[in-house]
Amino acid sequence: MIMQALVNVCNPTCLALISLGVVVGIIFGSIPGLSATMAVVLFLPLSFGLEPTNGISLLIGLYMGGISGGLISAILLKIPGTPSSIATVLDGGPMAEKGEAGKALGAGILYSAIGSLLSIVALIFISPYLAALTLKFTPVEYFAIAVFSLSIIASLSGNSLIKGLLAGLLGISFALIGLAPIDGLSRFTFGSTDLMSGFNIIVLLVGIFAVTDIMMAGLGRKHLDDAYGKKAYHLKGFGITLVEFKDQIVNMIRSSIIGIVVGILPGIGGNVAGLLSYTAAKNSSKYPEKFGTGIVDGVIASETSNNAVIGGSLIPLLTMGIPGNTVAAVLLGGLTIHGINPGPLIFQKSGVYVYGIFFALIVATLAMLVFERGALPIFVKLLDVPKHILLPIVMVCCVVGAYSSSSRMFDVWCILGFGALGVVMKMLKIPSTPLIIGFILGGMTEENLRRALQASEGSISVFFTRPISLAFLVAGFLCVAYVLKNKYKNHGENTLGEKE
Amino acid sequence: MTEKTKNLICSVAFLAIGTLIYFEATQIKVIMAKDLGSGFFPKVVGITMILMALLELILTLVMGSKNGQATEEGDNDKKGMLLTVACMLGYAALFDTLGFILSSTIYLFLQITVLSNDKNRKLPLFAIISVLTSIAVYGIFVYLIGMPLPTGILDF
Repeated sequence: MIMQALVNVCNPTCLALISLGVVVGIIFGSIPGLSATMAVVLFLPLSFGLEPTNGISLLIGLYMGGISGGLISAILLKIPGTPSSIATVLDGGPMAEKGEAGKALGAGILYSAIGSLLSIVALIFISPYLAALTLKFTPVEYFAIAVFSLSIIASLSGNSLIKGLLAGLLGISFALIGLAPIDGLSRFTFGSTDLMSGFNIIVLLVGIFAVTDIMMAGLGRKHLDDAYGKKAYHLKGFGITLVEFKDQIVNMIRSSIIGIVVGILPGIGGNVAGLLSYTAAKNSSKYPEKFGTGIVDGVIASETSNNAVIGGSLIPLLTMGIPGNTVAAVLLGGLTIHGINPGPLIFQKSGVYVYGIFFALIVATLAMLVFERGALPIFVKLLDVPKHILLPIVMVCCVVGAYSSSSRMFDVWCILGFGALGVVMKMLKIPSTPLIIGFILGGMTEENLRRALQASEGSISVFFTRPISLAFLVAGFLCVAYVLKNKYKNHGENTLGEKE
Repeated sequence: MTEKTKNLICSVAFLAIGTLIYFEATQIKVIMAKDLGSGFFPKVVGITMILMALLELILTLVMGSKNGQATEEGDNDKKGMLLTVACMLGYAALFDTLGFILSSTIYLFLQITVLSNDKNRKLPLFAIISVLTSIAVYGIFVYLIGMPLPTGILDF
C-alpha cells in the first residue's frame, strides 16, 4: 500500500501537479487580496477531474505554497499576504528597512520548509494511532464529534458569537436542501429539479470565498492598485550562516511544536500560531528588546510555526473529519469529492490515498523550498501585477470552475448568488467561515443523530453514557464556554477602558 | 448604516429564514418506523435560528444606544460594486449563448475597465489581455484537461 502510494506520487503527472500547485499557491499567498483558501477553492473543480492522488496532491501543493507565499509581501511590502504571516511583518518589515530583506526572505523560506517537514513527521506518527483509537466509533460518537466540530464555530465567530452561530445554522440549512439522508425524501427544493441534488460544495466555496472578494473589489476600486513601496533585496543562498542556524535550533523546535499543537486544536489558525511562537521566542530570548527592531529570530519563529500548522491540522482532519481551520474545511470538501471519507477507517479504506497525501506533503515541501527560493525574483515581480487585471481573470476561472463541476448554468448562477450573500454577510459583519463549517458538517450531524437514535430506540441518554461521546460533548461545551469567557473578559476590559 | 441598523437587518432576516425552515419542515412526513423523520433536524435548525435571531434582536434593542454610531463607509464606491455585479450578471447571461470565448472576452474587457482608474486605464492593452486570456483558459480546459465549455455562436 505504501509502495503503491509512493509510485502514484512519484509519477511525472503528479510531480508536475504538485509543482504547479506550489507555484500557484505561492503567487496567491504573496499577493495581498488573494489567499491560500482562494487558491485551493479555485482548483477544487480541476482536481475533481483528476485521479484522486493527483487531485489531492495538487490541493496539498496549493495549501503549502499558499501559506508560505505570504512571507514575501510580509517582508517586502510590510503587508501579510495571508493572515498566517502577520507575525512575520513584525521583524521581517524592519529587517527590509535595514537592508536585510534578502536575509529575511531566505530564512523565512528555509524555516517554512523545516516547519512543514517537522509537522509532516508528527502527522505520520500520530495519525495512525489516533485512527486506530477511533475504530470502535458508532453513530453516537460520530454525532458527538460533529457537535464538537460545530463548536469550533464559536472560536471562528469573530466579534459576535450569535452572528457566528447564525451563519453556522445558515450553512446547515443549505446542506438540508435536496435528498435527505436515510429515507431519501426530497426537502426544501421548492419544485426545482436543479435543487434535487443539493448545492455543490465547490459552488458554495467559490461563491463565498472568491466571488465575494471580487464584488468587494468593485466597492474599493479607488484604492485597488495603491502603490505599496516595495523594498529591494539581495540574497545569497538562504541568507543565514551555519552558526546562526545552530543558534536557532531551540527557536525552530519550539516554534514547530507550537505550530503542530495549534494545528491539531480546532478553530485556531496559522496567524495565532505565528504570534504565539513569536511571543514565546521573545520571552525566552536573551535580547527580547531587539524583537520588533528587525532580527531574524522573529521571522524564523513566525514562519516555522505557521507552516507547522499544515501537518498539525491534517491530524484531526484525516482521522476524525474535524476541520481545524478554513483551508482544512476546504480540503475536507476536496477529500469528500474524491470519495475519501476521513475517519477511523481511512487507513483501511483509503490507505493508498492517505499515504499518498503524506508523500505529496513531503514533495510539496521540497518543491516549495526549491521554487520559492529559485524563482523568488519572479514572485517578487508578480507583486506588481495590477489587481484590476488579476481579479477579473480570477472571476473567469471561478465561472469555469463552477460550470465544469457538472456542466450546467445553474451552478454559475449559484456562485453569483453565494457571492452576493457573502457581500451582504460582510456588510452586516457576519463571519463566513462558520457557514462553510455548518454546510460541511450539517449532513454528518443529521445522519448520525438519526442512526444513533434509531439504534437506541429514541433514547438520548446514549450520548451521555458512552464515555467517548460524553468526552466530545463536554469538550465542545468547554470550547464554547472558553470563548464566551474570553469575550466577556474582553468586553469588561473595553467597558472599563471607555469609562476611564 | 449604523451598527444597530445592521444588527436589526441581520436578526429580522434570520428570523424570517428560521420561520420558513420550520414551517417547511412541518410538511415533511415520517415514513420509516423508529426514525425521527427527515423533518426533525430541519425543525431543530429552524427553532434554534429563530431563538438566536430573537436573542440578537433583544440585545440590539437593549444595547442600541451604545452602537448607534454610523460606521465609516465614506470611501466606499457603490457605483463600482453595482457595475461589477452588472458585468458578472451579463457574463452569466451570455455565457451559454455567446459561448465561453466571446462572453469571457467581453466580460474581461468591461470588468478590467470598471476596476481601473483614470491613471492606469489602457484600453488597447485591456482588449489584448481579454482576448488572450479567454483563448488560453479555453485551450487549457478543453484541449489539455478535456472539460467541455460552451462554444456558442463561434461553433468550434
